[in-house]
Amino acid sequence: MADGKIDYTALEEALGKDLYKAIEQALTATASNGIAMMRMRIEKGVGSSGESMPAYTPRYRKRRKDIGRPPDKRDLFVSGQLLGGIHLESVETKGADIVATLGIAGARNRVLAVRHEQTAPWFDFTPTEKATLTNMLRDQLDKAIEADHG
Amino acid sequence: MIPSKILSEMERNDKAMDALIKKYGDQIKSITPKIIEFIQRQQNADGSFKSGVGSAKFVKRIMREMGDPLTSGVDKLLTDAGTSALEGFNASPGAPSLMVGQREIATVVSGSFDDLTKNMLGVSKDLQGALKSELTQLSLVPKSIDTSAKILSEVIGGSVGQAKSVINTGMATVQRDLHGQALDALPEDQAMVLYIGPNDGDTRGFCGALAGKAIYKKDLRRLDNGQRGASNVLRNGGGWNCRHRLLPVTADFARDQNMTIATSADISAANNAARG
Repeated sequence: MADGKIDYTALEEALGKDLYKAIEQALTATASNGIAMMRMRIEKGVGSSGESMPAYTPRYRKRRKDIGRPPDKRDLFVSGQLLGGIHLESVETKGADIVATLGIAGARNRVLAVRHEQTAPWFDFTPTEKATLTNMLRDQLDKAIEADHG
Repeated sequence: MIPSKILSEMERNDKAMDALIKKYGDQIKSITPKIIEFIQRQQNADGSFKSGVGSAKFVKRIMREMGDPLTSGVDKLLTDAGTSALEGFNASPGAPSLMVGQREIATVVSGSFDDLTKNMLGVSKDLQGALKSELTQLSLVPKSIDTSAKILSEVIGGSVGQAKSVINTGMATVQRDLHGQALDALPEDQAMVLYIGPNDGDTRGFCGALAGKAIYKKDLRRLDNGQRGASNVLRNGGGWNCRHRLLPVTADFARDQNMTIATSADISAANNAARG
């Protein structure tokens, strides 16, 4: 790796036929860590901009208080079904790329997700998270090369 | 803060959606077995989908099976809401896509939650079938859990509250199975889960001892939540109605994020709390 770029040729030489498998595993690990990162951030009431998400309406805050959830923090959590539904949907080749796709289980959850996204964007990674995940992926691929070359 | 205009619009859409689902309730019930059969035909023996089954194509076929009046009605409502939850969307440029989950549907159809019903007293094949039917519908049609619970309670012959508990737990089991699939794809020496969820007045002692901690995959078998019918911690967390999830993470990530790693003492504390 030079200048922060992944040297795919070296990677291919190092890993031979296992290249796809190594990338797939690295992407699975990175995407899984990314989901955890997103959830930990939302628990704090922070959206995908990196800023606190706007407060709930007074009426909904009262309802949240009644059910024992923190009223002043938009954490998108009541039953846990919406955030619990975030999962790694697939890791697959799309053209020349290998792409990890995140999904949300449950049709109702997807509708809720869209509504929240329109009001307070949350379903994305912050710039800091993206940088962390990129470095994480590079480290994983570096490790795969090192493991093969001893 | 959500403007009151948007809030009232959301409530109006919710009511319209439930009314639509009520109107086509019999149709949904009658076509669900066909959908399950169709999905099963698209699967390989290991639960994966046959190649060439694209997400959009797959969903469109299911939507056709469900019938035009229902799907066009749901589509219209979703279009009114500004998007379509049935065919995926891009939240913003560069954001991960939200797709209808083939993986979710496959997991539901595989009946991974069947264990939940096996240990219930007086359980019948009817309940297992009805639960699978409701969970399949919930993965495809944005109806509320309350609506599903009312339908299921008729099958169980119990209260709507009991039925809601079964559905909530079934949905959470499907979600944890999806996480479990990613966990299985991690290298064994790196495989951990983050036990994530609230630690509030409703939290069980078992979950409270683990919430916010990272647990090695190999240690999961030492956990015992003591919940009849929902004792598999990876699938059921703390048991019935548990709000916690076990998110797969790597050991390197847990260390970099300064996560607290669950010790033997934490595992014993959780197990002791479950025993009361």
